[in-house]
Amino acid sequence: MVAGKPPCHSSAKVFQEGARDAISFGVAFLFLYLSIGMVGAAQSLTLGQTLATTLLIFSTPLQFLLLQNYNDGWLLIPVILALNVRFLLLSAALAPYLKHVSTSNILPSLILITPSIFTACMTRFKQRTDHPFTYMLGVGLPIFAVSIVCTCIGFIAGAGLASPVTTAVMMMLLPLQFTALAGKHWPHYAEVSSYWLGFIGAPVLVLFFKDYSLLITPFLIGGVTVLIENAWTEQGARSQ
Amino acid sequence: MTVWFLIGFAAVSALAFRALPFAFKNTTALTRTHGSFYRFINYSAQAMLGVIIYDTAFNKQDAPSLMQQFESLDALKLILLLGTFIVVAKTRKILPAFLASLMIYLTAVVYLYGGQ
Repeated sequence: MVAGKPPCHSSAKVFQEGARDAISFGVAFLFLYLSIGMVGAAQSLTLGQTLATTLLIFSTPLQFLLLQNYNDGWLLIPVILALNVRFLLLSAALAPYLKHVSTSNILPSLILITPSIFTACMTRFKQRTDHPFTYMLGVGLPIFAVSIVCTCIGFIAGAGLASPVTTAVMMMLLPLQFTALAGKHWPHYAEVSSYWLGFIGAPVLVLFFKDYSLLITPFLIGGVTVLIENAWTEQGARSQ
Repeated sequence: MTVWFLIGFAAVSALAFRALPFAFKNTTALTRTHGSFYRFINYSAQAMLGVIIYDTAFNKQDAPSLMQQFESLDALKLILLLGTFIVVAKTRKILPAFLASLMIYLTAVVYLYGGQ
C-alpha cells in the first residue's frame, strides 16, 4: 500500500500539506455553497435553516435535495437514506487508515467525510500514511469553514441572483467536481472503472431497479468489479 | 412535517452512516485493504458517485428518455465531463480543468438562454 519510503513529516507540516491540497480539492465548494445559500433564500428558508444543512449535514447533493424539495415531506425520507448510504462506504474505506484515532477525536470530525475530502485522503494515503488524521483535518477544516462562510454569503446575496443561467450552471458544479476527483484516482483502473460504470449504468439500470437504483446499482457494480479483478489476478498468477 | 425535522433526520442519518464503520475499524474485513470486502466497499463508493453525477447532470432520465430528448447541451455536458476527467488524469491538477470546463459551460448556457 505504501509506495517506497516516503519522508516522515511532523504533524504541523502534514496539516499544512493538507490545507494546501484543500485549495485544489475544495475549490468547487466556493461555488457549490454560494449556490446552496442562494437556493435556500430562493426557497424562502431562513438563514438558520440553510446554514444548519451545511453545519449538520455537509453533503451537497442532499442539501440541494432538501432545500429544493422540502415540501415533499415524508417522500424524501427514503431518498435521504439512499443518499447517505454513500457515507457508509466512504467511512468504511477510510477506517483502516484512521483506526488508531480515538473515538473522542473521530466523532466531531465525522462531518468532514465527504467525497472531495475522501478523494484527497485516499490519493494521499496510497502514497503516504504518516499522520493520516492530521492530514484529513488539514484538508477538511478549511473546506468546511469556507463552505459555512459561502452558505451565508450566498444566502445574503439571495434569490436576486437566481436565473435560468445560474440554475443550469449549478446543476453542473457537482458533476464537474466529482469527475475531476475521479480523475485523481487515475491510474487505479478498478476505481476509475467503477466510477464510469456507475455513470453509464445509471440510466440503464434505473429501468430495472426503478426507485431503488441508487441503492442497488453501486453495489452491483462494486461486486462485479471485484469479481473481474479477482479473476484477472488469478489468471495472471496462473500464467506466471 | 417541518423543514427542521427533515434537516434533523438527514443530519442524524448522515452521522450514523459516517460513524458506523468506525465501530468495526479493527475487524479483518476492513483492515485488509487488499481483501475482496474492502475493495467491494471502495468500488461501490466510486460507483455511487458515478450514479449521483449522472442523476444530477441529466436529471435522472432513463436511457430511452435521454436518447429521445438528447440536446446539444447534453452533448456538451458529456464532452466536458470526459474532458475534465482526461485533463485531471494527465495533469494531476483539479483546478485548471474544473474552472475551464465551468467557464465553457457557463458561456454555452449564457448563449442558449440569451443572458437571462
